[in-house]
Amino acid sequence: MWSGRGHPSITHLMGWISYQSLYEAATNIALAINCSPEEIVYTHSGTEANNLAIMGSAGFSSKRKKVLVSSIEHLSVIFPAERLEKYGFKVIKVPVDGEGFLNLDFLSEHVDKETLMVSVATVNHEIGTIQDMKALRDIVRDKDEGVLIHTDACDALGRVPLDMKKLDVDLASFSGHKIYGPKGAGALYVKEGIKLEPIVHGQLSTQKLWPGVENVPGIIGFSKTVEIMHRNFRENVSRMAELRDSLINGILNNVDRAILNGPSGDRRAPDNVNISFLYCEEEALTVELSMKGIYVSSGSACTSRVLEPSHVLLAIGRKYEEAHGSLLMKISPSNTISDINYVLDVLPGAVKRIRSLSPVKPLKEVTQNVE
Amino acid sequence: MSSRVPLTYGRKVLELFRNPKNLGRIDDADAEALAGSLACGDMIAIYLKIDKSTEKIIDAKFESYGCAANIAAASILTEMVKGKPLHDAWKISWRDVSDNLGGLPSVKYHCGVLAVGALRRAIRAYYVNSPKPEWLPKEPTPEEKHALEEEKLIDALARRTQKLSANA
Repeated sequence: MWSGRGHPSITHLMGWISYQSLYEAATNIALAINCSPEEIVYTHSGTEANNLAIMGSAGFSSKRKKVLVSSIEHLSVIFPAERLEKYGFKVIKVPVDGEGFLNLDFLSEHVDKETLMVSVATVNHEIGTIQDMKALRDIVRDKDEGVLIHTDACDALGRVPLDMKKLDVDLASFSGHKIYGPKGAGALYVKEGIKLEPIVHGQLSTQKLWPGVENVPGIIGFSKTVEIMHRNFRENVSRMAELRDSLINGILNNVDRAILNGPSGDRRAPDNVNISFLYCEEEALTVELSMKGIYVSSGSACTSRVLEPSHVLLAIGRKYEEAHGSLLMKISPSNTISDINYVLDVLPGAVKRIRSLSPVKPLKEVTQNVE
Repeated sequence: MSSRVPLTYGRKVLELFRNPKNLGRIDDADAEALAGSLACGDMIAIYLKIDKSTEKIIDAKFESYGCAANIAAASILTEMVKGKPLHDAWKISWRDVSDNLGGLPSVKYHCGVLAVGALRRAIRAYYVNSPKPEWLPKEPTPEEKHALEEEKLIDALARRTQKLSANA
């Protein structure tokens, strides 16, 4: 009952219980991804884990001054990488194809002895592309054994099998809330022997790389959801993939001018549905759907004054207007076919209403009206 | 000042988003204008019917490709201008639009600005072929400049992206 209340760095009973809980949580997470609990560093989010991986490894490098990231990485990878440019690093963005798969020839041409790190997400956070991490690793290791490989695995955990030994990466980021755990808990896998500099400084906590008191209740919740997501893993994943395909096919068959972003089938994360509705403004659509109890997100940066739409959708070759009408929907393990059917009932009407408000009509509709 | 970015819509914004007033086109409009673009993800069209003798706006309608705030801003603005002489309509600021909506989140102020930008373009369009009144400024107002900047910015960004993908 005291779990999570005591300060895990203080030597009283409640502190010990918290410390023990953190260790048990790390053991649980380590078991799911096949590593040692000592290789788990807790942060408060996936963003923090990505920042630690990139800024922390740069802190140790005096010779290697080149960082390669894919052009569709999460901004918590792209921004810290770009920040390194201020400190004399060269950042190269590796292009992707129309489904978000990494251009491995480009990667191979640019990895060399100057390269500090290659960072590519196992599963893309917006369009669900599952990268061929084995091919990536073989190319990088073949070029130079000293290049660090980091993968943002926040969207891979619980969706694709993750075995740190087989994957053979040096660093991997995880986030609690992306697997339906509490917000405020994340982790970075740091392979034994890999040296990082802390990027946050303060009083030593139970771990050297991330000072500050750990979010003990959040971490316990995170570890519990990791455990739940890995129970009947294969069944869960294939059920989610079935629901995903019902949703994708249902939308593409019932809504005109809708295009799928990202790959289909086994090369797509089982929970990811990302569709652009042409001539339909996405934020208005998310509000419309929210009023009907469907909670989805939009990809654009309309909430800020930056008018640039999702960099991921632009990188796979979508035009600005296509990228503006995109919706990201995630299938959770608790969703059922009746949830999917409800969305399929509501969505066509919602898209139609938002399109009806717009001054820009598809050419076909304009001609029909004239006729 | 708060360090957080609020993004919750008030009741009035949601009400007008759900049931917009004055939605649609006026086919025989005496003045109309468009501001923003599809590429910006932000676009407002304003249509005005004007009584020529009194220069009063007798009807106003809008269409919007934009977020909920954008739709609500254009809708409330058309309500506000109905029955007003063009001179008074010209004086409406984006702040007035926001106030009439019960406030907009700060990140959505530009929706009010774009709506006013579109209205002022429409009013200018009305005087294109007739003598311009004294109250009509020769230089574009900040709201009109904003619409123009938004269109130019997105055009430059789109061109840059196309260039990048051509090089890749």
